[in-house]
Order: sequence, then C-alpha cells, then structure tokens
Amino acid sequence: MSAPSAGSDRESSSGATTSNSDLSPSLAHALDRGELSLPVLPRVAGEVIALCNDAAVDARELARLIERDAALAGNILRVANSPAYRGAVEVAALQQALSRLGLTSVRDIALSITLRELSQPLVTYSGMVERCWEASMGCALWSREIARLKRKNVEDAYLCGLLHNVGTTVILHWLVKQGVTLDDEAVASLTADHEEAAGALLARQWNLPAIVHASLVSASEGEAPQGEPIDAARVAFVKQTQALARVLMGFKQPDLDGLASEPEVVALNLYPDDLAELLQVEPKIREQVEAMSGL
Amino acid sequence: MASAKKIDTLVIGSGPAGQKAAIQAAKARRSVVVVEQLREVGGACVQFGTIPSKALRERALKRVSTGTQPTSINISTLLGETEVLVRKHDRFMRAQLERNGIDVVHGRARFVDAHRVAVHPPGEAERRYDCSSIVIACGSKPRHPDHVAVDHEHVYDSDSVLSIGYLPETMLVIGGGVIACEYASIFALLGVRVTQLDRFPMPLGFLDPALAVEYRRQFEGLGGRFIGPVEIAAVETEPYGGVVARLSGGESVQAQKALCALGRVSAIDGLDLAAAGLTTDERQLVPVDENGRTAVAHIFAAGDVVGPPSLASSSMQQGRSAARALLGLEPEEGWQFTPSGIYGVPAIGSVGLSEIQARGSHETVLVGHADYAEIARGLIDDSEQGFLRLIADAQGRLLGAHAIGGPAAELVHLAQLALVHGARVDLFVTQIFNFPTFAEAYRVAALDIMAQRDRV
Repeated sequence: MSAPSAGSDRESSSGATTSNSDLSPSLAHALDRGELSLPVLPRVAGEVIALCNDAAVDARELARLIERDAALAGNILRVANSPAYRGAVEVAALQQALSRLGLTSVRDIALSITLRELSQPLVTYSGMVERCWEASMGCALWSREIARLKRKNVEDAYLCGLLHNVGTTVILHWLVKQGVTLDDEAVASLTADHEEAAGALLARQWNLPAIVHASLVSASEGEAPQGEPIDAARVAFVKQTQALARVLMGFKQPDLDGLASEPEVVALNLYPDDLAELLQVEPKIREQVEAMSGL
Repeated sequence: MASAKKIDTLVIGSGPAGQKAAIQAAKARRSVVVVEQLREVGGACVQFGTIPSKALRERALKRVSTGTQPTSINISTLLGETEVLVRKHDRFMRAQLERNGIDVVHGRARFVDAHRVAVHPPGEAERRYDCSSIVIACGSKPRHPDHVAVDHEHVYDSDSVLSIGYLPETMLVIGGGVIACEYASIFALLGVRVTQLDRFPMPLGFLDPALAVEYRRQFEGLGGRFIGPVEIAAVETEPYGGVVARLSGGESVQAQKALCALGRVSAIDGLDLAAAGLTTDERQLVPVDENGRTAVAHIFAAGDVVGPPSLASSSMQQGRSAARALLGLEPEEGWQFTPSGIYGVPAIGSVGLSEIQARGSHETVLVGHADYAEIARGLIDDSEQGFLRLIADAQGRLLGAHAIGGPAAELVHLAQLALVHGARVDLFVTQIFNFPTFAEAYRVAALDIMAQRDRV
C-alpha cells in the first residue's frame, strides 16, 4: 500500500480529524443517497483513449479491454439496459450488450465514461485498487473456467466474478471524494461493513443484470434483485464458483490432493480428475492477470 | 483401506436404465446399491436431456400459443422453471429408490476387479463393494468432434445449451439428428434465426421421408434454414464476432452462437473396465447379448453405454431385462416394437416399419394418410399442420405408423398395440374412439388403406 496511512483517528486532507466510527455512518448515509460512482482504472482508460484515437480502431481489441474492467463493463451494461437501448428482454451479458449496442456505440460510451472518470483519480488508494482489480480479474477468469467445466453459464460466471468486489471500489472512490486517507486495516473494516450495500446500490442504480445483483447480496439479508425472479440454483452456482475461485487464487502452486477435500470443491461436486482438468488452465489465468496488471 | 462391503447387486448410474435395473433387483429382495456421480439422481436424462429439453419445449410452446412475442421471452425464466421441474423429478425418483430399499451412494465408481468396485465420493475416502452382480448403466455424454470448438460459451453442446443466459439473434445448429432438430426448432420458435447444417441432404434422414420433409417445411416456416448436404471443416469462435462454421467448399456461415449436436459417446471415463476384464468396441460401447450380459457373466450393461437406440424408454427396458437376467428369470415376452418420439416443433412419433423399410421386405405396401386438417381435433387445437401415415401390407396388416404435429409422440402408441397383436387396419374403423380426438386420424388413414386394398 503506497498511500499514506492513518490510524483509527486521522486528519483528512481538508484538515478535519476523522475516525472510523465517524466514517461508517457517513458512508451509510451516502449509500442511502445513492450518489456513489465507480471509477475506471487509469491504465485501462489510457488504452481505451489510445485505441479510440486510432483511425483503424480494432473493435475486438476494444471489446477485450472492456471485458477486463469492471467499471467499463458495468457502464456498458447500464447503457444497454437504459431506456434508450433497452429491448423487451434484459441484457445480461457483455456479448449481448455489444450485439445490441453495436461496437461503435460501445466505443463512444467507453470513451465518454473514461474521460469522465479520469478526472477523479484514485491515486491515494492505488495499491488497494490494484489488488482489488487483480481479485476481480482472477475471480472472473477462474469462475469462467469453473462454469465451463460444469457446463453452466460461462458468461454469468465471468461477469459476476468481475463485479464481485465492485462495492469495495465504490467505497474507495467515496473515500477519495471525502479527502480521507485510511490504512489497509481501516479500509478493510469499512468495506466489511458496507461492501454488500455499496455493490447492491450500484447494481440497482446501474440496472446491472439481475444475476449480478443477486450474486452481490447475501441470500438472507439482501434486497430482492429487480426484474424477473432469478432461479436460486443459478445464483448459488455463481457464488460457489466465486468461493472456489478465491481458494484457487490463494494457492501459489495448487496441489490436487490438498484441494480435493476443500469444502468449496466438494460443494461444486468436483472429482480429482475434474480438478486436474481445471488446474491445467492455471498458468494461462496467471499469465492473463499478470499481463493485464502490467498494462 | 476399509474392507469391501458385500452386496448382491451394484448399479453404476441412476439414469433410466440404472433405476429400472435397481428396482427390479430390489423387488426380488436383493441388496442393491446405486452409485451416482452427480448429486441428483436421474442421470443425463433428467439433468441435461430428455426431461429439461421437453420441459423447455412445452413452456416455449405455451408462451407462444398464448400470444407472447418471442422477442419478449426470457430464456432464463423458462430454464429456471425447467430447473424447478427437474428438482421435483429428482425428489420423486429418489423417494422411489428409497421406497424399494435401494441405497444411493454419491460418488464416482471404478472397477477394482470383476467383483469389487471402489466408489469415491467428492472430498471423502474411497469405499469398496464386493458384488455378486454389477450393472453398468453409466450413460453417455455429448460428442465433441475435433473440428468443432465447443467452449460452452459461444459453441454449446446439448448439455450446456441448457445454461444459455439469453436468446441470441442467430444460431448455428450443427447436426441433423434428433437432438439437433429438437433444439433447432425450439430456438426457431423462440424467434432465433436458426441455421441448421448437416452432412445429409435432409434432417432426420432415418425417418419416413414424408415426415422429414414435413419437419423441414415447418422448421422453415418458423424462420429456420436447413443447409445440407455440407461438409463442415471447422466451427470456430471469433471474439465478439460470434461463431463461424467454415465449410469444405470455402464458404462460411456466421452466427452469434452455435450448438454442436453431433451425437453422444458412452461415459465410461474412469470406470477402468479393463480391471473387470471388459473391453469396449470401436465406438466405446460395451458389447452385450440380447439380455444385456457382457463378456463377464455376472456383469451387465444397459442404456446408452450399449449403443442405439439410446432412448430413455428403451434404456428402461434394457435395465429391467438386465436385472431379470442377473436374477435368473426368463426374458419378458412381447418386447418387439420400440416407438420413438422426437420433441421438436412439430413433434414426431414413429413405430414399426417406415414405407421404405416396408417396401424392402413386402411386395405390396399400402400407405394410408390422414391430414390433421381433416380431423376435428386438429381444427379445434389449431394443429392443422401435420398428419398420420399408416403403413400396411397387401392384406391391410399394420406394419408401421408415423405421425408429425399435434400429439404425435402419444398418438403412435395406439398403432404400437395394434402391431403387437398383428392387427389389420380395419381395427381402427370398427372401433369407436372418443370424439373429437386425434385418434380419428387412424380411422381416416385406415379407410384410405382399405380403399386401396379393395382396388388391389
């Protein structure tokens, strides 16, 4: 974490002293007001601008960039489900959104979002943003492969994995806007209390697909996602893939025997040969995350 | 390693064949264990195939018939409803197995030798069974040819297509068999522009040609397109460009998504059949005699793992036959005619000889035809597109029956009973059927044959 840290009592950039206990109600209030927004990572923003300035813009490359970034992906889906573009059926996946909007519109939307969000950099929390982004990418990529192995909806798994920690990013953005600097521990405490609410707020405000909304909230405490009811088994599967993805990301060198008895593995009814097949993609996933980290 | 538990019969797989074999053996007071690698019982039939695809079809038809525009149908909702039905079916079947005193063990089976089977539940220690007899009913899985890049995201197989999250605008369906035609027509009904590609000139080429022609006509009426015969060199995904099928002639066909439905292969992976002294044939099927007995006398096989017809109905019968054989009982009599049902849009039912098959074995063949448009029930149900064809010999003895549209798969059962009893088509004229029902089509088709017989 490169950001200057503060303890439980701190001084904000505006000079006011702030404590954890002060921030939590303020954040809750901001969540209630629904005024939070999601930042775009500067490195992806730069890529998007560079691509869009190129007369021979490669639409596929742009689409790949969008897929890698939770903020862009979320905004594209929000626009695809907005009154201007919304059809009779909810857009539930990036490929579907691209098909509905057309790549030119997608490029324009991505550019405008990027330019807007670039004015609100998250320099203070850059280390945490980086880790958050890596967790988002890792979860998305592993979830996609788990879903593929289980013959379940691959696009659901990827998108929900990409956006699974979007609440944390929202909170970081809010902290920057407040001019408050917290250390990792204090941020972790704040996000533990408010990440779900922040994610749910974003899902509702941006009209994210119901499966994303449902996957962001806990079954017992969460609000009912908007739109048509979602099959509980579909939501449960997405959450199970994320749980296993977190386990897999935690292994430096995944060990088959050790993994086989993990509850997340058993919950997904995976046998040792299934795991062996899954772990074959581990180097590819690691490379993808590393390559994108170095953009 | 714990010692092996001694039991009478172990059944590998809880699909239609395994279930019926287990119940038959349990009713004879055998101690029976069913091993199922999925958490749910029922096998591919219940989880990925017969039940969910038919449930999807019925729900799609219901939505469209009540005036819902296909473009406003949410496929996730339909599939969610299907999932609820599958779970109900699972509970019902599990209760049936428990009621018969059958122990269902969750895990993956592997032969240790000809009598012992190891079962490995996920996350738990292996357990072993020492079995007097064994029934292999492990079913099948979709075939993925090397030239089709099935990734379950852009290119689905017949299992993963049930996970599709939204209706694409366009879809390629690779194949012209039963599963291909069922899904091609269901997606076409739901407003997807479907292109079906096959190496044969007509879909469902094994059927009576009149039915294949009618299927194609109605499929094209739904906006579908059939292209055949074509050789497909490759089916590939294009990032954000969807899917492309490259044909041998150099042309290509693109769509948003694709379904690969090029048959199924037996699901014997990990069973280690060699440890039991068993081998498979060149198609990875387990060779059996007419009672399902393998080369090892106390080991039997039934269902998709022994090959065609690979129908849920025939698998059930094979399971029962295998159990009767292992119990030392005589084979059941009268199992001569296996009907087939294709649950596309339209539905198709077939039993006995097709016209072409009949002409190959009989000098004179009479064909009776009844259009649903002539049947009161067809008019009432708005099911005027379709017909029943009866095939008979020169004396009017029924040889086969083939129906398309309406309740075709149900309709042919009447003919099946007539076939079992060697009846003449006159039976359908002398008997009184409820009116108005589709059974009236039998009378019309039978009269057609009787008129031809009089001329002959």
